[in-house]
Formats: sequence, C-alpha cells, structure tokens
Amino acid sequence: MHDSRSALDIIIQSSTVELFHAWGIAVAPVARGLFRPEQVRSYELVASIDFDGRGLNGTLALAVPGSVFELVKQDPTRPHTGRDWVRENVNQLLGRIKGRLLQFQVTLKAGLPAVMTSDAFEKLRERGFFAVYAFRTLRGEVIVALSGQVDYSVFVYSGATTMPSEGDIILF
Amino acid sequence: MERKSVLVVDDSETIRKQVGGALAHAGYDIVEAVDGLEALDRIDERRFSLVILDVNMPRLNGIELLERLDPKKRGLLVLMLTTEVEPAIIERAKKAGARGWMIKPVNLDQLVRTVEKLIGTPA
Repeated sequence: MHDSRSALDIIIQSSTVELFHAWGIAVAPVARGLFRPEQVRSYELVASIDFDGRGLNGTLALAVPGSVFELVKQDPTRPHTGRDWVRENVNQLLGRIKGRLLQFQVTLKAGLPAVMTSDAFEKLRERGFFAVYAFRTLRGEVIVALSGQVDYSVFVYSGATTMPSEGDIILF
Repeated sequence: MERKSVLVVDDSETIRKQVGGALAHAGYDIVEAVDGLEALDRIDERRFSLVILDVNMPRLNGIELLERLDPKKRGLLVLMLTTEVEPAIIERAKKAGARGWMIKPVNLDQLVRTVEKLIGTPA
C-alpha cells in the first residue's frame, strides 16, 4: 500500500510539474511534511474534474493564484481567460494522470472539467481530500487536491504497455 | 484561389485560440466550434480541408461526432486533439475514420507541419 501511495504521489507531482512546464512556469513540489491539508485555501482560479475507475473515483481540483496566471499572460500568443485556462489545465492534468495510471492497470473515465467558485471549493474541502499536493512557484502556491475514494491495493504496476504521451502525433 | 480551411472543435477557448492562432498564422482559414453539435452545423454549411477535433466535450463528444460523420464517406480529414491516451478509445476513433491522434499539449510548430503534410500549404 505504501508503494502504491508513493507511486500515486509521484504520478501527480510529476504530472503537475510537466503540465506547468509546458506553459513555461517552473513549479516545485512542497514536501508532504511541510504542507498540511488544512492549509489548503481557494484561489482566484479553481477548476475541477470528476473521475471514475476501479479503485479510484472522485474529484480532482486544481487551484492557481491569479498571479501565476499573470506569468502565462505575458506571452501575447497565450490565452487571456484565466477561467478557461485553469479549466483546460485540470483537464490536461487528469489526462496526464490517466495515462500514467494505465501502467498500473487503472483505467479512469473522466467527466467534463468545470470552473469552481470559492464556495464550491470550500464545500469540497469540507468533505475532505484524500490527497493534497502543494507546488511552489515564483508567484505563490499551486494546489492539487483529490477527494473521493482510493483503494491502493488495486494498483499493480506493469510497465509492459507502451502508451503514447503528451505531444505525440500519431497518424493512422 | 480560396485558402484551405480548418475547423477547430474544442470546448476550451484556450485550445481553440492556440491551435487556431497557429494555423491562421500559417495562412489557413480557421473556423471554430465549441462542441460536436456546433461542429455538425459548420460541416453542413461548408467544406473543410481538415477538422481538428477534441474528444471530451459537452452535448456531443468527439468520438460520437466522428461516428456520426463517417468522415471517409464524406472525404473529410479528421485529426483528433485530446488528453486521452487509452488504446481502446484511440482504436475506436481509428475505426470511425480519424486520420490521426494528437495528445495535448501539442507543439504548435509540429502541429502546423503535420497539417501541411496532410492537406498541403494554405492556398
């Protein structure tokens, strides 16, 4: 169970780091002991997406300070709508997590991503998160939180499957 | 001569602007749709050289649209652009007539080169 928990931690942390890197934003995971779930607070930009699979179901939430989105806006070719940006990012984050979980024999079905209000995020927080991750940036902390249910015993690693990954273009 | 046109279908404005912006900069005529149902309307209205299609969308998702369209019969090229990597879904899209599968986030220069390879230069 401990190994599976560590594997999920690594999957979520590496997926988040890579996601923000793709936007040109450096983020660094905060060590688990230095961040407590009760420290989680809502930010200007919050989005969530539901997921469902064997042994893992619930909601993934991504909370980003507006100051971090300002870094993205500095590039004129980049998006200017923070709400849509965070919504698309929670979708892409779950996509990365889903892809990596396939190697653990876990297939997730995703819902549609949605922007969350501060109140909705607070209600989700009150229900409790089973995993919370914080990431430092130059402009504040990014939060990734998962609520719902997880059964770590269903995670069985099998590196045999070769999956396409982010940025791949496959022509049929 | 009329420029080649590309329909970009995604419920995210961020993606529509990124992808559409890169292709417009390369010289293609871009039309946007926010979901599968709107895409059906656009496709009924005019002929597109290429459709770039997301999977996870409200109302009518990309796979459902693909299966409804029957792109091979219409002579329509469709490239999927999605976060999905599940082999069963990729195979379903292939069977339904998609020409390719791109996983977000895609490098925009590479995307433009792929489009040029499939449909040629804009004019």
